[in-house]
Amino acid sequence: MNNRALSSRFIPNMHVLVFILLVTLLVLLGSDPAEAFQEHGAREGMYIHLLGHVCFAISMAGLWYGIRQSRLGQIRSWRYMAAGALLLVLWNVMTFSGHVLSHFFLNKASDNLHNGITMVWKLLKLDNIVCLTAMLCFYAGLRKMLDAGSTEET
Amino acid sequence: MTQGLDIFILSADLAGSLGMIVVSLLCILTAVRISKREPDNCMYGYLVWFFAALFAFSISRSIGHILKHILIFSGHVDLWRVISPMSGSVNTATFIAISSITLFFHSMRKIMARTVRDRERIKKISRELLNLNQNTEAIVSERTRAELALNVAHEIRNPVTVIGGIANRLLKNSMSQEEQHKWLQTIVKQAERLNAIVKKFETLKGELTWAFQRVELTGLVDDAVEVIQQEAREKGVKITVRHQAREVFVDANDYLLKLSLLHCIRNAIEASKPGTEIVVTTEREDVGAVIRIEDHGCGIPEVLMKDIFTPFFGTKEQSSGLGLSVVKQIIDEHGGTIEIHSVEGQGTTVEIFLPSKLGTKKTWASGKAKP
Repeated sequence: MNNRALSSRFIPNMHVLVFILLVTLLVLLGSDPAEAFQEHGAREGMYIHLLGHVCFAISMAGLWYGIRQSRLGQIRSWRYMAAGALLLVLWNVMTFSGHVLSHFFLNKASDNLHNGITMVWKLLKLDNIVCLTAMLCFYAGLRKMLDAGSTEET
Repeated sequence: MTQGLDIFILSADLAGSLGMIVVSLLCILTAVRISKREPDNCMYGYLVWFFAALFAFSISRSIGHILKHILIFSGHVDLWRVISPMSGSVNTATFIAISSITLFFHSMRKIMARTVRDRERIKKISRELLNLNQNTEAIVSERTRAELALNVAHEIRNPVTVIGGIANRLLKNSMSQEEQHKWLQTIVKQAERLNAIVKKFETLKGELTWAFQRVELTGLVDDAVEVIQQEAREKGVKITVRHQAREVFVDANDYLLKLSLLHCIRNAIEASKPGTEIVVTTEREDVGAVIRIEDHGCGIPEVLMKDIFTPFFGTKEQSSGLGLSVVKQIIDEHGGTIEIHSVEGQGTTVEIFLPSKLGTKKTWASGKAKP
């Protein structure tokens, strides 16, 4: 069996492995805070949420790269999808930064710094605009796909 | 200034949350529509899962945000503190779901790329088979023609030689009445032999049997067009299919009927100029169906029209000249009729009429008004 065949057999197993790992992490870190050994539930909950954002951002970056690198990148509908994925990466960066600012810096900063951080934090709260734009890009891609019918290869 | 910014952020958050619900709902509905159109396409099936996860994400996030604002403004901060971790957990779970589903995108892409490659290969093989079919038709027809000619020559040589010899002797008038009677009897016998040979050829036609079954005509036309679509594309000719009825059933041999259609469409492609369109229409009639193939090509000169269904008549160098005569014979065997209307320089329309039931052949042939 050649290397290519080996790698193509290996890739789906990798996906399953990563999937199991993510679910395990979610179950372990996202457990009910009422359980006895969970002393810092809120903070751990925040960690798993931030980890979720990291996973989300990486997967969207992967989706964007996968589309751009393949022949799908030449099809208009898929270019919209790639744009949506890239915007979701940006959204994840914005929300991740917002969470970090509010939970780790906002209450500890000095007054002057606090005002600056609050302003940045407030601006980051406009993340919904980026997220909505990403969804609109996805929708535009799907509409193109629907209108193009079978003339566009997937 | 700060209050104004707060109000703007709040409005943007609420409007964005509502917008997210609406747009993500539209996305999942559109993905389902696309998937339903081609249920066998695994990428479209994958998109449904992907957008289902994005929809769950939008709902969990947006409802969380809207609830937060409502509860805080209505003074139920404690209730929001209870709900907040649940909303956050669901939101996090949707992140993981989206990430997990996206992991399989690359596998889907590979599967689709392979499917596209295989489809191209099948199309290529199909084209090669069609060419092979044409070549076989040409070789078989050539051989059949040669064998037929040899057999006919061999069978009729003796009777013709005998008849010729006797006729010569009779012309010389060097025989008695009795002898003349005897030789005339031989001529009659040889003529009967020739007649028997002719009858043998006639019975050949009667031995032809076809396997007929109920065939859905619109699907058969779609299949034929799909097979030949690539040839049309290569020449820059567009084929448009229009079905006036959804399902049209006829008694037919699907292979032979498809072969006939392919031949007619290929003729239309060959006659068409790049950038022109061929329209293939199916219509349901009272006692059968009509297939119409219309091109805007060079047309057929009027002087050739009377011979187009004649066997071994052809204008193309590579052709056996059997094409349209075979098509006509196939349509005849189906109890249908084929008509060709052409104006030189403007285009040609081939109309094939097929009865829905083989038994309706006579009614069909006599009842159908000529277009």
